[in-house]
Amino acid sequence: MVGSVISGEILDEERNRTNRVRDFYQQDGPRETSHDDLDLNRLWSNWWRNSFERIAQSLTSPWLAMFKPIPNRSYVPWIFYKHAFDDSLATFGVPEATPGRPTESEAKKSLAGLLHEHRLYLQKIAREGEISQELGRSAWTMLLSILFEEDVDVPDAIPGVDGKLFYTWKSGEHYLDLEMFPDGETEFFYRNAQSGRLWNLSSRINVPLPREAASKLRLFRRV
Amino acid sequence: MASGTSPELGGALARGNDGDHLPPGEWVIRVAKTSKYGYAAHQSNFELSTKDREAPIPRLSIWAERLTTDEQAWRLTGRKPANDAVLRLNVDLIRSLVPEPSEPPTPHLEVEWEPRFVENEHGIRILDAEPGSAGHAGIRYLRYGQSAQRTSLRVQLAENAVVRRLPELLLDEGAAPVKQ
Repeated sequence: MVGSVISGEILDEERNRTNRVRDFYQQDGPRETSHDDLDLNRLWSNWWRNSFERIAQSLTSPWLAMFKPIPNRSYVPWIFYKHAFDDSLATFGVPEATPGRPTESEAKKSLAGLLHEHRLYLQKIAREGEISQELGRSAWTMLLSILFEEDVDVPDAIPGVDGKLFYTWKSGEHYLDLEMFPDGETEFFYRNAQSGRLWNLSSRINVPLPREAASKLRLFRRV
Repeated sequence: MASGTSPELGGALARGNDGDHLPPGEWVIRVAKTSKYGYAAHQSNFELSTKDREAPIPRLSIWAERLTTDEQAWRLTGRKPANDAVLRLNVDLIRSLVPEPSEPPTPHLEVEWEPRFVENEHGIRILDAEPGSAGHAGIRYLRYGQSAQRTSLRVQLAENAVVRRLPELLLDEGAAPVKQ
């Protein structure tokens, strides 16, 4: 089994996947061809990490699986520690980093893969000047803090006018926006589409999550 | 006052004067960027920019679908590759939206013609003759009321908008340098 995992095919697959992700997120911006993109050491390192994870997953019995840590909580600090916002090609050791826009079913994939995509997206819009690099970094750190505190979905994201950035969570009738301004102000906005109930709260980026905001975020727990 | 002909009558649509209402039943489009996942429109797609807000009559720029194609609208809004979709809305629906909370009362959203002007070589303002520019209009009263009311209107617009992705070939044109 190990022999079949360590093959040139897998390495090619990994390399192709990395290239596809990079191409997708750079397609609207200037092409960057730094040597770092093709860093074989990094590729090898990711490949070994992926291989070990696959083997470990295949060896885990259903009984042992009961004692596995919650994936979100165990991944987040590690990701936070290992990969800063500016790290250009970290893959979090997860093979299923999706090239292209994920479908809703794909969005249920691993947290690490979704975070990888999210970070690439922030880097892309910062590179294109839609948001500042500083806001991109702050927004990335804020997302990791939120995920560490609350076991929620990775939000959708979109730049707004005048250099703002939005994170959006949707689930059934629940809708939550986190609007981040270039000056570090933030605004939470919640709306229940059925009852029409609204809630909003102003705060600052990367301060401890307000209690009311945390309770709203819990409506969007990962399935 | 409504200007032009209702599509229910099957007539042709003509550009109205500044501030005239679009006829009922018309469809309008807005050029926008999609979000990271690109599933649906987002409320930020309906937010007025600083420039829009500073206009004498603040309106959100839209285009009457029968006078402006998706492609023309995209070109007229600066050929930005990041603007990769158009959002389609019915004029009647826009007018029917009610902010939440409904108090204090605010004017209903209105869809009005907003002719585009350009300066000619003598510096005189003339009507823009670019293909599709006749369809330019705007959504008015998006800046009225409290912050939550304004946001709720934008969220409702986003919920009701139909997203139509622009062809990649067209977006590539925006990425390419403009020929002199």
